[in-house]
Amino acid sequence: MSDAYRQQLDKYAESLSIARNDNVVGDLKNGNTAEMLKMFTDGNLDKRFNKVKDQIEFVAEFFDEDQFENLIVQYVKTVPLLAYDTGISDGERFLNWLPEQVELTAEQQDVIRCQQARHQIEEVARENRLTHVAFQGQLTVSEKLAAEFGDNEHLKIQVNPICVRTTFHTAALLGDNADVPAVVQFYPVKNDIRTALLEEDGLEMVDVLHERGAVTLEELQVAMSFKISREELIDLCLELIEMKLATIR
Amino acid sequence: MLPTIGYALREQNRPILTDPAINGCEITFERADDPLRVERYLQDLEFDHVSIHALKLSVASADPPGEKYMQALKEIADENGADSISDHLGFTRNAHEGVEMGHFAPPPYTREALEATVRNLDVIQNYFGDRRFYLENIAYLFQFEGEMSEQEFLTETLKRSGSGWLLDVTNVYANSVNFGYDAYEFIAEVMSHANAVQMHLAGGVYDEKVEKYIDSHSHPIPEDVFDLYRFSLEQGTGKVNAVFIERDQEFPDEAGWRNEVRRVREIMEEVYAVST
Repeated sequence: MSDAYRQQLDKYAESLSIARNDNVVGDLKNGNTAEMLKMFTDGNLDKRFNKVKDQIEFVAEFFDEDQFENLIVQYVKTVPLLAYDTGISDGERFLNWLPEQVELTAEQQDVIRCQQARHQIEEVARENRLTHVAFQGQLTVSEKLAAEFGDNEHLKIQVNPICVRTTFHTAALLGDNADVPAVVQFYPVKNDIRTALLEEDGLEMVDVLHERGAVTLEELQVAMSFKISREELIDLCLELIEMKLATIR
Repeated sequence: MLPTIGYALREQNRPILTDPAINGCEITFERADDPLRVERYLQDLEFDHVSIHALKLSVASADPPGEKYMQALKEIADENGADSISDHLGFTRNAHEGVEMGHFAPPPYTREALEATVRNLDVIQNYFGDRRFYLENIAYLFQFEGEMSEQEFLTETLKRSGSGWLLDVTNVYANSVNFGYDAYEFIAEVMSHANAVQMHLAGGVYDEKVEKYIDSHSHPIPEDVFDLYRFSLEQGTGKVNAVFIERDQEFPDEAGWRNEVRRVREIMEEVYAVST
């Protein structure tokens, strides 16, 4: 294949992706009009606008509606969709582009962090789909096994492999009485994304379990950096299991 | 044996997919590709033929599709026991790491585009191995200046690549209305060179303002398309293995879903009764 075809498609795709139709209209077959090309690009931009809007619906609630929609319009008309972009990746790029356009309040920054953590969960799950499915399957027997945890030395605790953490600097998403900054743990339960506010010991346990994989109660107790009684450790484990942030196998 | 018949799976038609008139199903990859999904996309549904329909292989691009995208397609195909994979004869992006337009456009029908398309199809077919690949003719709103007609380009592509043809009957109808060619002649000519065929049926709407038939998948299949479908079955007897109905907007009620697929089956049974 010659470079000519590559250059031809570069011109078409780069122009039409952001509706710079004037660059292309001269290459249309006789009888085809600029209006027909416009129908194509208008339809594509509308579709993309709606996808981005749906993807970050939650973020939009913290902005003036008209201003936010205008920003999405500006984004889709100036920043091309990239090869293999999904609704998630395009929404994420919009959130990265947004601070270059407007000054964000601290609350808006938190909402964006929250949405980005959700995107990250989906991306990590995409890269580790089989692990995600296996863990979710294990959750179905977790409750039964949890009753034996502490008595059966062969049982191991395992943390949800799809975990993302972010810090909120305002109480906007936490409730008025929340202490900030607050570290928030994101994780999926089936296709739902949940959040948890853990104490320091809980956060460390999640980190240890992430690093070590599935471990027995004894192994976990040795790995923790601070002194914790066996009973306290069991309670902490059961708390994570109840939240479906960890499972027993 | 009759070709399988079914719907492109949407959540709106999932409840009627056990209708006796249905024994096939098409999965649109981009809908099934939910990273958090735990169950297989078909859940407990079983069909005689399952096809995975992709939107981003960008068959006419300057580069072949990326392996990561094909791997994801293959995983969904494996998980749902798919027999075939399909995508459109067009380009959605310039190159592998380029930009997306958001929808497929027809390539310029030139020798160079043909070379790139056939080379990409070789890569795709080698990757998917025993799962047959079907190339769909698209509905377009414009065409680029080229060296041959769409019919010649498609025929050459099918002949040289050995790819199956996903004959979108409604797309042929839409293009024939919008660009003034004979849909019957188009189908008869391409069908004579196709070695394996699947079909798409859908209903669009004629936009009086722009004087174009829009392939919106929003209405019942029109009579003109049913006539073309009958003709296509007659022309393609022995080659056609599956027919899928697409609907993406203004969804019908339960009776509407069931009646349309039953009509598609009735026509097929009539054609096959005559031909055997």
